[in-house]
Amino acid sequence: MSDERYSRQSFLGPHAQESIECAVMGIVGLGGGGSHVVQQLAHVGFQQYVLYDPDCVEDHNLNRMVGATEADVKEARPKVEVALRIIRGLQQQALVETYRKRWQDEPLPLRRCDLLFGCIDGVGNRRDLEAAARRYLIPYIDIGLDVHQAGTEPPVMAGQVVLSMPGTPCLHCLGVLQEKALEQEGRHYGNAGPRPQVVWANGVLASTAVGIAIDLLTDWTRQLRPPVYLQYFGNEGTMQSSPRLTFAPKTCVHYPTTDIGDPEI
Amino acid sequence: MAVLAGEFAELQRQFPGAKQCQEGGTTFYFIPGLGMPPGCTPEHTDVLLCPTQRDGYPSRLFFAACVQGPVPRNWNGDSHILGRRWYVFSWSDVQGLRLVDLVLAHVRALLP
Amino acid sequence: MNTQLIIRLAHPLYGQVMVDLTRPHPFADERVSFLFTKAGTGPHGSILLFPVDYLPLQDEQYIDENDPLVGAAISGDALRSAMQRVLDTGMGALHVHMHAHHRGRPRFSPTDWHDLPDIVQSLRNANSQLIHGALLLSQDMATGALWLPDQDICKPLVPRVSIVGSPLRICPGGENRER
Repeated sequence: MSDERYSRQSFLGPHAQESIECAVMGIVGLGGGGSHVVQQLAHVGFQQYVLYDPDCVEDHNLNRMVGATEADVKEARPKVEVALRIIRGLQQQALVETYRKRWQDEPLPLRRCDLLFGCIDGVGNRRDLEAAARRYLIPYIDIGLDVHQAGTEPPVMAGQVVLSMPGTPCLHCLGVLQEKALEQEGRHYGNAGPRPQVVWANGVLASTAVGIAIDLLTDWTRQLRPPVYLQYFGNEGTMQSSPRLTFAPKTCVHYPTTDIGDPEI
Repeated sequence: MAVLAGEFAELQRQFPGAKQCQEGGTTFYFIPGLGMPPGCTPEHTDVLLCPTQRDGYPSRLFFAACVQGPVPRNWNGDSHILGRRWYVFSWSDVQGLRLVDLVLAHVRALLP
Repeated sequence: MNTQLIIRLAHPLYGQVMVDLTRPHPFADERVSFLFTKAGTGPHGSILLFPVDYLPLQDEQYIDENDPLVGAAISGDALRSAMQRVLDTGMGALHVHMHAHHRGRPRFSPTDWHDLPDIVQSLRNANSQLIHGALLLSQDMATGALWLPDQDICKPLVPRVSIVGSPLRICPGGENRER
C-alpha cells in the first residue's frame, strides 16, 4: 500500500502507522457495534485481527450492521465473513483469524490480542470477557447501548464506552457491571433478549472506541489516562466522562495485576 | 457468606486437590475430578464452587461438563471463569452451609 | 521449533523498574535487576510471560571491572539471589537492564550476547524447566531474549514485548537470534 493512503492521518505521529500495523486487534461481536469497529480499524490501517461471532446475518441486522447486505441475509452469511470482506476490501494483506463461534468456545486465540473490543450483549458476557482480558493483561474496550421505555415518556437512549486497562479500575469498580443487573440476567436464564439497536448510536460508540484505541497505540494526544468511562446520552447526542470516575478506586480492587497468567487449576 | 476458619481445610480433606482461586473479586473453590452420583455421565468431572451470591443465586456449582443424570436439569449457565469453560444448572437456595455441604447439596441435585 | 513467545509487562511494574534502573550507581554505568514471570498458554502452542515480581540489586552487588565496554557487572551474590528467587517462587527469571540513551526498539549489544548465556545457564541450574531470559529497555520500548527449557543456549528466541499501559507499547518479535 502507498504512503499516500495514510497521509491524512500523519498527525498521529511518525511511528503511528508502524504501531498500528503491528497491533493484533480482537473484536468480539460483529453486529451493530462490532461491524463499525472492524470497518474503521480497516480504514485506519490495522493489519492483524482476531474476530469472533457465532451468528449469521438476519434481516433484523440490516438496520445497523455495517457492510451487511440483503444478499447476506438470503445466503445466511456468517457475520465473521462479512467482517472479513470489509477488511479484505481495504487491507488485502491483513492477517485475519475468524471464529464463527462464541469466544468462550475457543478462547486461546483471544490471548494473543494486544487490544480487545467487546461489542456484545449481556452483562454476564461482559464480565467474563473482561475477566479473560485482565487475566492475560489485555486492555479491553467495552461498548454498549440501551434504549429504555417507561410509560408514555420518550424512550431514553444511553450507552457507554469504557477502557478497562489492567491495573486501573475495572467494569465492576466503575459500576458498569452491577450485581443487580447480573442477578436479573442470571434469573432470566441468561437470555439478554432482543435489544433496541440503531446504526447512528452504534456508530458514535464504535467511533469513540476506535479513537481511544488509536490514542492508546499512538499517544497522539498525550492525554489518555485510563480508566476511560464515557457515557453517551443518545437523546441529546452528547458524550461525557462519567461522574462515576470520581468515586472509582485508584487501582482495581477486583483484579490484582499479580493474579495473571494461567490459573493453577 | 463468610467462610469459617477450617472450612477450606475440611474441603481439602474431603476432596483432595481442592484449591482456592480468585477472579474478579470472587473466591472460587476448585475440585478436580469430583465423582458424580450413580447414573450420571460423565462419572467424574472438575467442579468450581462459588459459595457467594452470583447471578442471582446464593451459591453455584459450576461443572466442567454438562452432567447427564437421572433427572434432566435446566443447564442455564455457560460461563468462562479462571480461563476455562463451565456449565451450571439452575438450582436455587443452597446457602448457609459449610463448603463441603454446599458442594454435596449441589451435586445431590442431579438426583431425583 | 517456532514457538511464539509474548512478554506483557504491566505499566505499574514497568514504572517501578524504570525508576530503579535509572538510579545512579557509584561506578556502574548501568543498573541490572531481575523480573520473575508467570506463564500463560496462547494459541498454537504460543507462550505468554507476565513479569509479576521484581528483584532490584543493591549497590554492593555490582563489581567494578573497569572495562569501558561493560556497563554493569554483577557479583555472584547477585546471581545467587536471583536463583534463590527462582527456587522460592517457581517462576522463570528475566535479567533486566536498560539502554537509557536510546528511544525505540533497543538492541542487545555484543557484550550482552556474550554474557547472557552464562546468566541463563545459572538460572537454569535453579530450575531448568522454566523459561528464563532477558529484558532490555530503552526510554520507551522493550525487547527480550528467551530460552525455553532445552533450548540451545546459543539460539535464544526473540519474543514480542508489550508494555501494557497508556501508551500501549508493542515491540514485535524479531528473527531468532543466532550467535
